[in-house]
Amino acid sequence: MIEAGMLDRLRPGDHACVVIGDDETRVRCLATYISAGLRESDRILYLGPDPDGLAGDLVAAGVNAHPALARGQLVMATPEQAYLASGTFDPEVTMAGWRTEAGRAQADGYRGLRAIGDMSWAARPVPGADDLAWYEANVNRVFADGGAMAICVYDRRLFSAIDMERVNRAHPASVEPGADPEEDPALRFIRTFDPPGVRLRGEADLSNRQALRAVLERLADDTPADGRPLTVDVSELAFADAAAMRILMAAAGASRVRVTGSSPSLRRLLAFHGADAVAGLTVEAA
Amino acid sequence: MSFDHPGLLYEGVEDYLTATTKFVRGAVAAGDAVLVAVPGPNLTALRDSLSDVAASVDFADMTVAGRNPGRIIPGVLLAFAATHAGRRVSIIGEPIWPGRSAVEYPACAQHEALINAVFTGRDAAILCPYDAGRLDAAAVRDAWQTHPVMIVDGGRQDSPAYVDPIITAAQFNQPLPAVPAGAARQPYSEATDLGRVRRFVAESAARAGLPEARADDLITAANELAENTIVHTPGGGVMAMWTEPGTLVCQIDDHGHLADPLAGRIPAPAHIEGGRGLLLAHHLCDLVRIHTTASGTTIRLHMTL
Repeated sequence: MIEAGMLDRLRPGDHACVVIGDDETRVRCLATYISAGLRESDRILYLGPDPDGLAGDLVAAGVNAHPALARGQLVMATPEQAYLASGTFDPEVTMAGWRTEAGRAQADGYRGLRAIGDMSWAARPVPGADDLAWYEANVNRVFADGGAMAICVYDRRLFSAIDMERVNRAHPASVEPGADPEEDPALRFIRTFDPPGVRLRGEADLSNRQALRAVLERLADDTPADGRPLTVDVSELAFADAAAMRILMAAAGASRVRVTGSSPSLRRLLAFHGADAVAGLTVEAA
Repeated sequence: MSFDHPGLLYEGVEDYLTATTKFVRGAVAAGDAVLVAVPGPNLTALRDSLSDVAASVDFADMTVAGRNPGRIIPGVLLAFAATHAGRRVSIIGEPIWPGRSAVEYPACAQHEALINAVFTGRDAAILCPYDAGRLDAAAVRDAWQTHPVMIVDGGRQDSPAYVDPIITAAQFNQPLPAVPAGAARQPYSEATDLGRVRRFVAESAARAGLPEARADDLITAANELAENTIVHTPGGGVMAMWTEPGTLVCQIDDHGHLADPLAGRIPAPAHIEGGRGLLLAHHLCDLVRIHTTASGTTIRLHMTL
């Protein structure tokens, strides 16, 4: 039941959208991701429907869930017991909650927090559910800190195609059943402190555009100000599309931005978009 | 403020230089910003003849700057006008020469027609020389259709054959030759397919021996056009790639309709985030041919090997 693939290889900082269409696939995905968490000494936090039922499914799938539950490495609750306790979905409060849980996991001796958000609740008329796409894009700012990682499980039977498209593009990575098991998450954000900013790794395109936008738009807010320009390290960005150039340039409209490690093709693309005329932007070669 | 777009029919270099140097010297004397964008041999002859006013004239080899005819309006003509905002611009633009292929030609004729639509109301003159002695009769006939005014044997005359540029552009919206049976194909329909599309292009480019920087350009162009399919059209698309002698070809087929004949020819305002896919493809590729109907659009990209 446990398979090799992207779910097995996700790392702290990752935030992947897992779209499932049947219960068996759901259990297989969760078993794989949770097993990896047990192996990597992560605190695993499942927030979704029917925790007891999932515990049984995990055992049936070969995951030694009960000892992990007993020692507090694996924690399971319903969203209603957690971030929906007020009856309303508040994205900012939920994001702050992940930060708290990540700190707690590390204080308890774990590598970090490995979260699972089963988003089935969002198909119901919960107040605040309209903010879901904003939340999914902005929560990347929390994961970029590196103390936590998450998968968000969406059951395509519960959501419209349009809704699925919106939330999917807010995730830097998407796990598709049947994809090449060697495939890596499309995009990763790694917050850096010296120099202050963020490192982008992977490929930036339509599939993760809203994630990139949220991280870069709010980069100044998320970076302690020390007088230096914000650095966006693109040395490990293997591909970036035209919109990504506009997003980079927009970030430089609000604060000074240094793009470092830029490949010749990325510099040509930035020049095509008029980056030379953006006063706050400097582009440095790899 | 007026726009003048004469076609010049010439035979032989002497005839060519007489008419073009007169145009340039008049424009320089009037204080216009002047650009000469013509194919290599003509460029050399014109440079030599204009050495006394060279400081007042910009020169470009049209076989490079205008290799892709769809790039000439945004990348050559409008770009020159933008760097000389507030001045009248006078340009010699020679986009059609005897070496233009049958696949390139319809894009050249569309370009000539659409200059009229783009520059109407601008303070500019664009003189388009045609090598009447060496070009096909059809190309010369089309010049009469795409230019409101013609210069023949030193005399200007209104063209009786001039047609509304949008109608002419539609006339050259012609089907492309069939995709070869052995072409590699990659279907796509969702944003998460774009990575596969890029790898497909990268592998085909590597097999064809396209240099890495040019491969990056093609990957960027193909990615933008595939994104356009995903965002703007129903039902996904198919990318096909193959080589022809000296050329790597990438074709995108989808079910959309490209209604605006000027799409991709006018730079988008800086504050607009999207809408640059086709413009970028024109900028990066050696040819962009488009055939669009109500039921589907084909875009073919050429990269010279």
